[in-house]
Amino acid sequence: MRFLNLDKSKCLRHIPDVSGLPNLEKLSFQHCKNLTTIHNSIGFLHKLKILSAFGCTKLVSFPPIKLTALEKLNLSRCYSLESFPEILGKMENIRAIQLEYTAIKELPSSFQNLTQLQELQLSNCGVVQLPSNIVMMSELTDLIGWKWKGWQWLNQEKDEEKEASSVISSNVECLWASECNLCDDFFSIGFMRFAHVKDLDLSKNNFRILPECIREFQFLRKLNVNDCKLLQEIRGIPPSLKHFLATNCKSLTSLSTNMFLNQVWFCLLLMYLI
Amino acid sequence: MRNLKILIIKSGNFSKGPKYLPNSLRVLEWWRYPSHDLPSDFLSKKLAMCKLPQSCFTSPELVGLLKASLTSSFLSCELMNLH
Repeated sequence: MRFLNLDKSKCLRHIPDVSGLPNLEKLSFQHCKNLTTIHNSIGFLHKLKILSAFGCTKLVSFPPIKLTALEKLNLSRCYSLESFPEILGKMENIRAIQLEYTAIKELPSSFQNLTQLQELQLSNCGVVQLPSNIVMMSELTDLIGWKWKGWQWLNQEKDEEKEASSVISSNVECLWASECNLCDDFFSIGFMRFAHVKDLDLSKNNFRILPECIREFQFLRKLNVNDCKLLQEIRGIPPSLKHFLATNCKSLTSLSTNMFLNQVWFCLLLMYLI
Repeated sequence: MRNLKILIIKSGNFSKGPKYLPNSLRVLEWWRYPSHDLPSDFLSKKLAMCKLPQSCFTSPELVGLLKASLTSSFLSCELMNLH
């Protein structure tokens, strides 16, 4: 059997042993509203290309996977799903992952095994904990998040020593973290890992200060802090910035705005002189 | 209908499930399949596509279905051409 579709099977509570279906390429059990458990064998279907559990609202956990042929994994709208499955070995065929409306709190360190992942979109999640080794994922260029309840790093302590000597920067070019409940500590913990970013959307967050370290973001061309209603101070601007969006930042004082404009003039002057 | 290869039922109002399904089936698509069970003697080794959305299978019956397919042999690209 190559395709098995059990979508909207309301009575289905358990996905049984599927090891007898080694040729499965597509397995879909979307909107199975009473599904709570999945047999571990699902993680070892070596020909599986598409796996969808979209809308399985009672599913709390997903077994570990090593699906070397997998191209698409859909776990969105699994409202009760608390963790992303462990990735037991390299899975080189997934280019993009979109996860929305889940209870996922953290991505496991083994997430790094998705070696060809280019785009990660996470929206409407809880407090998201990202493994710090995500910066080692060389193909990951787009990290898109919105409507998180907060952002934390996993394994932070282990990596602090390594980082003391040199900060490893990810290849992420587009970092969107709008409405992610980001406070000032977002910039002090791990932010410099994204020093290569070109497009940064931090709109609708709760930080008060855009810190000086933003100057070190040499490639940053677009910065969006729209609707950051607590933002009082902008302490630096990146050297290559072309678009800066800061509408509805109600706490920005005229003093801090003037300071910011002075920096802009200074940069323009430098550009003129050079 | 011992040679039937494709059976697709997308709408319909059946009071009972089928007593018999041919083992020659390669594609079985049946929306709102009207029973908890597939026929007991249905053992299609060639079934490549099984699509049973909105069915009332619970897990034990599904185990039966999967066991029936346990010996499914690898199907050539012929199936794709049928679609």
